Amino acid sequence: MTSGGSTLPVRELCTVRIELAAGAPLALGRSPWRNRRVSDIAGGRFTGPRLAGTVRPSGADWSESGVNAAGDGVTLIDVRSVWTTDDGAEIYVTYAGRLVAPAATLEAFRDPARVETLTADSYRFRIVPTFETSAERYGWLNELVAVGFGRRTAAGVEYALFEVL
Amino acid sequence: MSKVEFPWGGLASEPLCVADFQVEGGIMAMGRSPFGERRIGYVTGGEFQGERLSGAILPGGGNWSQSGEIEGGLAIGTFDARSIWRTHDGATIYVSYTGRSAIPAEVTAQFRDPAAPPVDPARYYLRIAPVFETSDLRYAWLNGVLAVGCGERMPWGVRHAIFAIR
Repeated sequence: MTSGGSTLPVRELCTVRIELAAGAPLALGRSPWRNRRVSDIAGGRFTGPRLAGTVRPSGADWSESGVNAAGDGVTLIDVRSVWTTDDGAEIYVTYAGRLVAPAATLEAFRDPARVETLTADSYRFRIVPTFETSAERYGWLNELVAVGFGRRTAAGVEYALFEVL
Repeated sequence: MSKVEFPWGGLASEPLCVADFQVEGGIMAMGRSPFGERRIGYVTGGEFQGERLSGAILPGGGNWSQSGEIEGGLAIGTFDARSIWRTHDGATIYVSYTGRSAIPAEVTAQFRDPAAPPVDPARYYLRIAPVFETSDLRYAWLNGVLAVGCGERMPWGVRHAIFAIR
């Protein structure tokens, strides 16, 4: 994944694979304000030149979903999670984001058996993670903003994360 | 300074439910980052019981609190919690709350001592302010409630007596 023709300076951070809990998303229905779907995190792995480890179970995406004028599914992403590096540092990872699935892709998109047949450019899935850790050797993570390019998988999600320089 | 007159009389409330939040995995103390000290506890289950509202607290929520201290060793913490409840008649409710904890140093010491008896909740302060969100029409009234909970620490988590503010 690249940032295309833009001049935005970025540096690879890591790839992330996350498995969601069985039964995700839990649809809470339409309250007076929003339509929430909560996806609990079952686990995962992140791998990059400067950090690698596991995504801890628990934490979730407390997402809110809607539909735009064209009938596309638009989802607001709101994740809180904890990652543990292979050398034992705990990192609190949170991200907002947006996932837009065009109306024509929605049926396939919502079917775990078919979602991986969609090409990554047939929908748009972007996140902006920030990090918090007390581990001094990963202190540099506290100081950066990242951008992630996402794709849905049968089991959950995958991201390619880039540090915005 | 002249006495301040409070309109509304006293603060009126009525019992809403008692909620037991199980936190069986313990609290993850994240340590001191440049921003502060975060303590994360995930909800592993529980239940809530009240006249109009009863059911199970689902695993998967949590409290992403920040801890601090003020003079005299009083540990002061925030609450930033999210939880999902399911009533016995099948309604799903999103519960979120902020709040404050204030625990004197000697109480913290007793919490940490496995041999110490339970501490009288009057000796420490756990207060939450839940709001509720549901699409279920039978519980639509709950969307319009601000509640306050008074907490008691338990071996398995926290029990909150929750009152709906009128």
